[in-house]
Amino acid sequence: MKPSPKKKCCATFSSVHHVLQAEKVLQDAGITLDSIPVPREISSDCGICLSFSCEDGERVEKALKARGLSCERMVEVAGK
Amino acid sequence: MGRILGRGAFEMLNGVGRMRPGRRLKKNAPLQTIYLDNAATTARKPESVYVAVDHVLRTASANPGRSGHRLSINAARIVFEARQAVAELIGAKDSSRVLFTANCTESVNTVLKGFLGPGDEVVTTSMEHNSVARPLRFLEHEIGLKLRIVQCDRRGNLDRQEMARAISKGTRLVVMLHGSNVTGTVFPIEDVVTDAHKKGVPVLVDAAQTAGFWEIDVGKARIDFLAFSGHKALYGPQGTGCLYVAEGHALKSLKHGGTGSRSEEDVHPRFLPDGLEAGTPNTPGIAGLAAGTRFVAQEGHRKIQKHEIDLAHDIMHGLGHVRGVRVYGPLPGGLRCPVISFTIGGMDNGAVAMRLEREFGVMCRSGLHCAPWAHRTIGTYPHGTLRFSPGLFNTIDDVVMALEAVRAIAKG
Repeated sequence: MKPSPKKKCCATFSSVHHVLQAEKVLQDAGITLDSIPVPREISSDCGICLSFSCEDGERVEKALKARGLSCERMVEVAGK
Repeated sequence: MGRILGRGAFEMLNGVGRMRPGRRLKKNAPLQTIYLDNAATTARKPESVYVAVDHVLRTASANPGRSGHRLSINAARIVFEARQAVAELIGAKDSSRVLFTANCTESVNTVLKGFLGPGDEVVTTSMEHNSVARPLRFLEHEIGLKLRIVQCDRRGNLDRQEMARAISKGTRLVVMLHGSNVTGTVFPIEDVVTDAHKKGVPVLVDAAQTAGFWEIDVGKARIDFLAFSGHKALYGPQGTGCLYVAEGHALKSLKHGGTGSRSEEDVHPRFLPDGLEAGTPNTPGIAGLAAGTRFVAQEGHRKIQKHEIDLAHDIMHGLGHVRGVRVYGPLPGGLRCPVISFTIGGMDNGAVAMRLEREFGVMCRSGLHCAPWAHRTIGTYPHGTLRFSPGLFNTIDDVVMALEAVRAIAKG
């Protein structure tokens, strides 16, 4: 994914456990992020996902990979 | 041990006063509490457990991970961190393979009913608790499970060679306890796992008595399934239990329902932990279990074991000097957990237990301890035994007073 300055990206995971596992890894890697309800355009899932600046997309992928983790999807979302 | 409190602390918690054993009770006089039933439940918990449960109920009691608001995410984080704490204690690399259940019985049932099929053969031991015996008998009746029960000796010891001989390449699963709730015998689980794996057979270990007391590393011991309670030696609240499922094993879930994930699908997810957990979890209980687990990790198994085994040996030694008392189980010095079974002459165990409590404030458990197989094995069926099970919060004073009480009753 090409970095889009000022745009927000969301990473989804298979379960809340995996979201929180990833959140810990990414926080340890110094990435600013937020856990938010999954936006409507991604899924109807009632769970949560991680939101961060799309500029950090590559860092997110690398940090997760380094710990043997991966997200289900990473997409740019509309709005703030 | 710096953290171990004298008996006064327990009395304060229970709002009761003190009394020396052997002294005749005055009518309505307050009675001291000497709790020696830790094998059933550790009645007293570390302060951090009470604080954790209270904190969750007051500040984070939303439904974990079901909603996107802060309270829900905080609750999910509490469950996640608890899973991490338990995984760390048992050496599980992937915490998603640690499942929360209501108790060890549910954990055992999850494996037996989610793994075994019609006609499968299971090898187990004659010392098992009803949490294993009953689901096995149920499956034997319902789906034609074939049971091979390896006979242990009169002290409750398992012969490794005999166990190995009973396991064949056709065996689907080996189920065995780690520590006996009747005799305190500890089985050589690593050896049995090695023997079973040579024949390609996975092993379910029931660690109800040992998790928190004995250092268990599921990775090093290569345990396939580990079932344990949260309310015993992990000092969590009742209603908490755990199941570890090693990588490569899949179980059919006993429960299907809401998980907070894949809500668009009406089929229960297979990935863990969600695949084996359904419905709102016991978040306050799990928070308490996490606090208990951290307490155990902080104290260290070595320190906990030493204190409890010292007390167990003191009890065994003391009981050995009381006329008419017979102690069952392994001799002092061997591998054991802090559970001591005994009888006093031909006395009724229930009546003795009642006198121990009413006259001396000593709380123990009498009877069959939900383990008729084990009592048949050691020759105490159907009357069972009296059982003293000291825990981390017991002191040498408790043991001295309990022994004095046994002496007084044995005198008649």
